[in-house]
Amino acid sequence: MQGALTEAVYYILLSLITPRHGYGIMQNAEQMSGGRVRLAAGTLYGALTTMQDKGWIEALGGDQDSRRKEYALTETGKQVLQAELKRLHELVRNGDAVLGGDTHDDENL
Amino acid sequence: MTTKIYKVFWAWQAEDEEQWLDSMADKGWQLISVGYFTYVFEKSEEKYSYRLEFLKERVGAPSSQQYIRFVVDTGAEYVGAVQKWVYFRKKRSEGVFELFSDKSSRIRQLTRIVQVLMPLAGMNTGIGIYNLLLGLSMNMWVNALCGCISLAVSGWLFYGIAKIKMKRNQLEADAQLYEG
Repeated sequence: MQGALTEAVYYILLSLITPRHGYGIMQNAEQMSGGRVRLAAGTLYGALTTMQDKGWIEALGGDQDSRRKEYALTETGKQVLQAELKRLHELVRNGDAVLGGDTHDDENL
Repeated sequence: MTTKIYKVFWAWQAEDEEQWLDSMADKGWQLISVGYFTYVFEKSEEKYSYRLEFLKERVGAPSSQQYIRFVVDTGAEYVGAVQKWVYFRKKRSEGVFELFSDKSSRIRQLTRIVQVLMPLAGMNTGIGIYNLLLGLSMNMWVNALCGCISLAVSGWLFYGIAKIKMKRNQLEADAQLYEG
């Protein structure tokens, strides 16, 4: 049973359903979150390194030195992402039930 | 037109240094090169934001070079380095520039700096006490003086370490509630 992912990691994994390079991930996360999530280069790089070590993502292309190295989700990463989405659904379900469910005006992002 | 300025920033004053570089940029002076306590600015109305980072390995190491390339690929420029401190800049017209966007990476950065300063402070304390005691017991004033200087340096380093730890504790406390 995995713990909660950070928001940054969640958006990085979500972005890598499609192979992207670092800057592409930053742009995608910012766009998906309506400008709210801005991944910084240093934080992103650390997260990408850790996720590679865990086998959640992989670097594409053999050339280590090529600029704009692209990353993609692995099968493990996809499972991690799906488990996380399930967890988030549980949070929203309970939040709606307890608070009354009138916080959905942000669903139009 | 360029100008060279000498200014002292200690390892625990990275945020102050960034603010100073940004304020120089506000005034039209963009940093183009760095050295030990030395900053070279170029007059330009194209304004930049400046950020520094203390690397884990030396600048020349492959992992560091890879990291620098990564940051540059995201739209920043590499200004230079002093030991393991690297300087990046990004045009303000291209948006906000940060190297860290969450508390845990900021905490990791502060821990990295502390881990380098601690042994230095410890060594200076040891050497300082040794020299001082030696100097006092054998009436060798040079040793006693060097001892005092070492102790002053270590005191200064411990002060800086304390400042960093305070900042880190604040981040850790906040991290119990928020990620960013």
